[in-house]
Amino acid sequence: MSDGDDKEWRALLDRLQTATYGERILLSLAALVLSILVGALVVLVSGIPADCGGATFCYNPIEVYYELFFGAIGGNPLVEEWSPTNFSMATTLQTTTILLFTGLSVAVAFQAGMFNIGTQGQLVLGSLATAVAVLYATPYLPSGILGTLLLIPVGVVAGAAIGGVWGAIPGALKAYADANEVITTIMLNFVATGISAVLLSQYFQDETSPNPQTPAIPEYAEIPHIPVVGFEPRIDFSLLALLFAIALIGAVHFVLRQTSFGYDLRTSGKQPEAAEYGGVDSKRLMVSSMTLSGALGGIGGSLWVLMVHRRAKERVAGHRHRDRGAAPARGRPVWADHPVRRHAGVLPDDRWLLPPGARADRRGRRR
Amino acid sequence: MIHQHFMLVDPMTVAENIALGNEPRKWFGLAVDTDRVREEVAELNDRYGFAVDPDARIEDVSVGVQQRVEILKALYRGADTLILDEPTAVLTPQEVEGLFEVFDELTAQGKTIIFITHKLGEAMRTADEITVLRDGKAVSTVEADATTREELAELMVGREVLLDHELEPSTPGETVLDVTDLVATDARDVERVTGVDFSIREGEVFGIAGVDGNGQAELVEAITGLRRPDEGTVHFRGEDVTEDSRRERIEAGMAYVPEDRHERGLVMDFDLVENAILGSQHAPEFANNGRIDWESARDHAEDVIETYDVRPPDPDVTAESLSGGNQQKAIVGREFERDPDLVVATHPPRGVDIGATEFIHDQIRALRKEGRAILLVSSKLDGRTATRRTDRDGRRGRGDERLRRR
Repeated sequence: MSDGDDKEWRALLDRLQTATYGERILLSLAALVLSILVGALVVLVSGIPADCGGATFCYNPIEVYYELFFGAIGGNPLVEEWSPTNFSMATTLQTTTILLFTGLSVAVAFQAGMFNIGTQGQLVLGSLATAVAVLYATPYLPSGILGTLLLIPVGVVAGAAIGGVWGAIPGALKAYADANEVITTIMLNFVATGISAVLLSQYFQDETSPNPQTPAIPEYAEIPHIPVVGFEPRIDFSLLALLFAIALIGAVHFVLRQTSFGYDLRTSGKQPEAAEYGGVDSKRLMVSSMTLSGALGGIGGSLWVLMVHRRAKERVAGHRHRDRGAAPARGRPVWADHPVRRHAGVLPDDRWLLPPGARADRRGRRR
Repeated sequence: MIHQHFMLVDPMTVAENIALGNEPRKWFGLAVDTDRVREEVAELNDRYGFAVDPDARIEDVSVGVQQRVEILKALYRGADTLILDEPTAVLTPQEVEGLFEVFDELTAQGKTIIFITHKLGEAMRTADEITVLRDGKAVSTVEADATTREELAELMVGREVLLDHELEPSTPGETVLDVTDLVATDARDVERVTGVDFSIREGEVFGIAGVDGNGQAELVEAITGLRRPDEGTVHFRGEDVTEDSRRERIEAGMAYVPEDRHERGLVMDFDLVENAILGSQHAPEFANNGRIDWESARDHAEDVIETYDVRPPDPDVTAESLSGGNQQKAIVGREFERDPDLVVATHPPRGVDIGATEFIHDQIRALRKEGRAILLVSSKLDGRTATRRTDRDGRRGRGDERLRRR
């Protein structure tokens, strides 16, 4: 790269630093448009080897995007009768809700300068803890609306606690044994799946089922639907859960921006040495921020139980195709056709969670 | 262009660094002709009288040599005009003298040198012509032979500057800081501070002079709580704080102007409001039950900006967007306004112009008069900068020597 190029790049980067919100939104839109174009190209090219009677490009990218987009919201409101509370919309929002928690979990760790790739494990154990806590608490609590009001918090707190503990482990390993959290969190995902499998089959097995899963939690412990909004009740989605997720985003934002703890956390994430200088105990902060991150992942697991499955299962997350496929009585599972499901592969898959272009080591980049 | 911060690849050799990006090729461009690089470097070495070993690794040579490598890099590319941005900031006095000899050699051979500095003496010593910049404008160009330090200082600041201050006699009070038999090692486990002891009393400026890298950093970090000493104790206001955390020491009333403003002193991505409470983010003035009071943080930032003349005077800009001197003013302001019992400051006026230097020195004198204890670390040996302001002077020699008390 010549000096001239270098200078231009630098100038561009400096310009980006000072971009306004409007410009940033435009930039994101530009990236979106560009990625759609690239995707279209891939669709076109992959149509070449297919056989469709003479035409060179067998697949039409516009059709693909049309299906992808309107499929996710359950039809095109412009050309057909469409209700915002339809089935596909509910499924999309259900996935959105869970992804909000996993995303939030990763974001908190990232703000602290760490990569939590273990959200999957935190979610798996969080869901098990939720199911077990609710099942054990049920006999001691009243049923009905009071039961709902008591059992849901019990489940969420249990999920957050166990998810938090599971997140604290890699935090502590990083702080006190200098173990890279990227490696440990990934490894702990497998450990979590293993632990969950053993606990399920050995201790919490639903005797009436051949699959490793807990018994179902009582119906009144599920997150209730809002009657008026009227998503079809047979769909495992509650607007309340989505609202809860959005409220939690606000809460996390508040913690990060408005509290001393959040200040410590962000300072550590941006400049560990400055944080140390400012009196932050970096070891303790690593543990506490990973605990918070893990707890958020664990709450994702809670919702998985309280909203979707009504029970903890082996491999809740990331393997839903198989789960759903194992319901042959219903014939071809409807959700297999859900476009988001089909194309996005759903849950805490590691590739999803790494912010693009993120680097583990942010030190030493300034001079 | 030779930058203040070197653009060298540490694990590579001198010759490799010089040729980097401009390597002569052999075997149809498939390999670097290392022999030719070495020859050419040796030739340049001879012509300008640089004694640089082309095969030494950058990480193994001193800062002074690294700077010569930077100069060689420019010469290797056939530069006729060299621009040096504050090249003396990192050098020892001997190295500075060596650099000036290099200047003389280069100009004798017809090269042009643009030497950016804020030190009057250096400009007077080396330059033929001096152009003074102030607030982004060229104020004046003068012949070096036909001007005086006072005139230059006046041009820089825009008003008359008193270059020499007499310290009022101090009336030291009780002991604030007491360091006993302190031993500290650096990151590579090399013992850098070997059994140092000294104490500082109220209303006293204690200076540590000496070349950077002889244990000052480790000593200061052990005092301020960023490094655990291996042996010895630190007493602050009569209490043993050797085991106290950094935060506890800040809360007890220690202020610290660190040597490295980019890594430590400021969070580059934060705006000045956020930076104004770095170290006080848990203090009751700025935090209430764990919640930060951004309004008082903003007031505080605005105070610091106004009092210490940080430019641009906008609390919403990021620290990164400020010039080095203004970053330094923001740090000094934040730390001095902490109402500390002890100020530990390493090169407090580093990189700031003479007007701000004067102001910072005034502030240090004011703190001294108020009865604060000040530990001042400086690499400048000449009486003007360090010892003039100090009541006592612990001069450091090599790292394994004891700090002597005068």
